[in-house]
Amino acid sequence: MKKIIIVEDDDIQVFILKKYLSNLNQGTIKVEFFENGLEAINYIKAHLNTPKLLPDKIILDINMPLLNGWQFLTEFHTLEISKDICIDILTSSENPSDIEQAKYYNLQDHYHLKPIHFEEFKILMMD
Amino acid sequence: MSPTKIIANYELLLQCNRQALIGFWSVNLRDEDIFWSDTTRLIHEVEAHFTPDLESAINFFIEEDRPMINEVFHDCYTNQKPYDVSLRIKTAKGNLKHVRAIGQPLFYNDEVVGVHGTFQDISEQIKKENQFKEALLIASEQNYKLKSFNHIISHNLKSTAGNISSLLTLMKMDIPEIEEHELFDKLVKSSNQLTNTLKELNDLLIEDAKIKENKISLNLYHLTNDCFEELEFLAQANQVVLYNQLPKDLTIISNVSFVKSIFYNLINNAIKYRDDRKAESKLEISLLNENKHEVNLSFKDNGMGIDLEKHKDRIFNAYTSFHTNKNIESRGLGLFMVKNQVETLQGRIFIDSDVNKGTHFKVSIPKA
Repeated sequence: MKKIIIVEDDDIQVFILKKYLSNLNQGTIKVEFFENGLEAINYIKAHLNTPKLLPDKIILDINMPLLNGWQFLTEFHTLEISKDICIDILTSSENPSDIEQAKYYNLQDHYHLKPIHFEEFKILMMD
Repeated sequence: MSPTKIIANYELLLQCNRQALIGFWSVNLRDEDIFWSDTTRLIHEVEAHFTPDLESAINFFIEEDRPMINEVFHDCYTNQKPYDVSLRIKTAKGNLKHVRAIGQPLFYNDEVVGVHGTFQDISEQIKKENQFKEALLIASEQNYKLKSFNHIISHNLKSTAGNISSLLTLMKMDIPEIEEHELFDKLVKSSNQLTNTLKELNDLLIEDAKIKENKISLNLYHLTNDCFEELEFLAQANQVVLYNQLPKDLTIISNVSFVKSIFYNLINNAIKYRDDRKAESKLEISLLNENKHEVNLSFKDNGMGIDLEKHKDRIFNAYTSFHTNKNIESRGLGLFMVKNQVETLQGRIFIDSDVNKGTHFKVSIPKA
């Protein structure tokens, strides 16, 4: 079973993505939501030794309280993780500085702009 | 030099001093002899033959600045170190002035006997400098506000507009029959308008960062055709004929996204504000002339035109639309963006227009 973590602080956006998930209507993906980068990084740190509980993919918002997307990534890359985790950015920011940051993390091809449409989301989840 | 000439030169020097508000002075500490020139007196606003002693001369400086003048003066006398400082004095009439005081050791028979130098009233310069600093501060504050505004737009407003758009899509999936409802259709349209306006506004605000993008060689004839192609559907639907009369080899080195946006907006404008009563609605794009530095382009349409008498000052302002035609979807950002982009490229734009006859834009863009 594939596991995906979605880090998103906006309630409505979470609602929309959950709705998309229910319309996706398939049981081979387990999705867990976190409200900000700090909660997500704490989860990952707590399960470093149980790869089964670590995600295959993280869908990451940038602008979040406590630990934003870039701060999350900085910490994430200091961790020793035995599993290959794919990162996708999902943001409404088109700021050049954010796009530069994405290039720095080699995520320019994993940079998705909100609003994300259902079909796009489907591809993102199945990929 | 003849004595007359010396006197003439001396007069000239005094005149220069007065005009530049530079006075001279000397202090001979040996025999406690102090000399002030007329201009030095003028700056201190004292009477014509006033000569101070050392203490009263120092006391013209405001209290805060006295330690500084004492120090540099002493250093100059004992260590032969010249000084050049900016200080404040309070004149005999009680006015505060900014002065530049320059001092050098005064020699007599190879021995330092005192200090002499010049005294310049720089109050005006300081005042201008302060005004400039203040203006700069205001500009930086505004810039900061603009950046915060940009942040609000790109994060908060855009996310919310995106959410509304997604929710509407979900609504349609969950309740297919809602699409039939008039209100739903209006809601979708409003949501799309909101998204587009925010996108335009966002593009506008991040232009500063974009200008650093590399300039490339641009063939304006092909660029025009590209824009025509993108707007072809709109032009055909509205029966507007587009004429590209630019020379096929017209090439400049510029920022592609800017130039394209300028062309796109001006063409779009001509289509939007066409005059359906004309037998043929048209837009002609041509080269007026070119020189070593720039190309002068012409965008001429036979559309509705704008009443320049009434609107001249506001024509390129944001959120200004001069037409009340309900069929036109206008957010009033088009010309504002065009002017902004032309000026960012260090070009110029002029408008000439007659109501019911048409509009003529002349755009100068630097060649490199």
